[in-house]
Amino acid sequence: MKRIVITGVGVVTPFGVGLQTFKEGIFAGRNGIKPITRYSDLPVKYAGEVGFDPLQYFDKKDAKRLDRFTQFALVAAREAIEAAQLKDIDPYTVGVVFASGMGGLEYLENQIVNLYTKGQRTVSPFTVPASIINIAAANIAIEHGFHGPAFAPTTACAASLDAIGQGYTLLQQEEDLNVVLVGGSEASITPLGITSFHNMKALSPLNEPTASRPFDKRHSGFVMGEGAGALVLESLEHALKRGAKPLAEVVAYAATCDAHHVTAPDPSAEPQAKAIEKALKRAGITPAQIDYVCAHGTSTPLNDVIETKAIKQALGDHAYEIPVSSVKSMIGHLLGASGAVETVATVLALQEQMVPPTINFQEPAEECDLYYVPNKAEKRTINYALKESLGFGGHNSVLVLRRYEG
Amino acid sequence: MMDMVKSLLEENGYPTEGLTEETNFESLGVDSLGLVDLTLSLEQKGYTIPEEKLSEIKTVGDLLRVLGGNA
Repeated sequence: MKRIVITGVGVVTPFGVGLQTFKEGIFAGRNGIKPITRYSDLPVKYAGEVGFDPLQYFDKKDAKRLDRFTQFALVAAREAIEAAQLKDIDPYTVGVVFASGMGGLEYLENQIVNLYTKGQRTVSPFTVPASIINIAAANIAIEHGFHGPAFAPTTACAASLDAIGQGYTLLQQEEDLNVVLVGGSEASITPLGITSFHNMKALSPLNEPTASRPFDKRHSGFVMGEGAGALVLESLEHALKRGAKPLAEVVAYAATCDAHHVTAPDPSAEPQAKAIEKALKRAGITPAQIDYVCAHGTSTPLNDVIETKAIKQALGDHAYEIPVSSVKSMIGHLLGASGAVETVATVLALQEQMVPPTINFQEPAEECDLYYVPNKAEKRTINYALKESLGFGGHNSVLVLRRYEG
Repeated sequence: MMDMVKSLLEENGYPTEGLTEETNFESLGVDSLGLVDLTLSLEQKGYTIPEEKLSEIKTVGDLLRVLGGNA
């Protein structure tokens, strides 16, 4: 087994563009949820919308052809690649695994409106290449000239954690691959995106900026967010040889499927717990070695209770000894981008030895009896952290990350 | 007509400096999808561009000639 490290990260989040604002936001316990400005008359008024001017990052021609989710992806990838100082590298040794849950929803939605209101001849010829889910990965490859494998896992809200896991797996399997740019992107704060999630009762019906309350008694659904997270993965050997500084190490990845229901998690929590157990086994560590769990923590009653149950099943009594927190309390649920952005938060936690809090927390929900780091970041010794993401379809994905001490 | 084509190119973010009838669309970054996009926009402005003429359009002058057929 090769040792795989993260050598650069980049994000676009409801806190703004770039890692610095994200880092300050999560450790200050800031709330990134604001009134939605890009659309009116939606059934929900608040979301984690990104203040983003495409023309600051793209020329007019590209801004028109690229859906917002690809724009976020490209901006996050640029930051990660620059941070990793990835240059002068054989392009056939660099792959891209970049996920999304919904893809170019806004572009597609606008064209469907054109089709039904203005006719067939008003449908953009860019519709397909703007909206297909793999197009963020492809555009990253095009922009940077990476010729290794490029694809997009599409496991809903677990998608970008699977992207990191698949990138990790590729690096283990393919001898001639040195680097994989991994991550995920999402931009679903659109009329169809918001209405669909609202009508299935997944979104909190409360029109309040503090409605994202993972594990809290008053949790009532998730709050939509948008953005992207990108990470540069490479073997430790390759990183050190080119003088790159590892930020953290990925030591294991595991995934299971509930095989139970399209949206509801298996109430036994067993498949989720199994994913954690498999990841620990692959990492070669015991539950007692985990110092922090960066939870999926959506703020839906079903998720929060069953995720808590799964963590306890997998970690036993040790689950009560360690902090478990949800970044979604601060930025909302970034769907297919959430796993990548929250992995970046976990990397920051390992680097800073500081746990981001679960904000908007007053009183624990019934059956949510772990320590959720209420409202304020905490200094902790963290050597191993667990990051989990769960997706509609019953997808359970888990990463184990380790602090890097060079 | 040239002014109309120029402003359409500008609206779509293509460079128009020094635009002449000889200017090749490809040199402006207008690829095949971009050209279809421009012709669909022209349709909305009331012009007709027959499908079979599309492949003949390589330069601004080619487009002007096809549009001229509309006059």
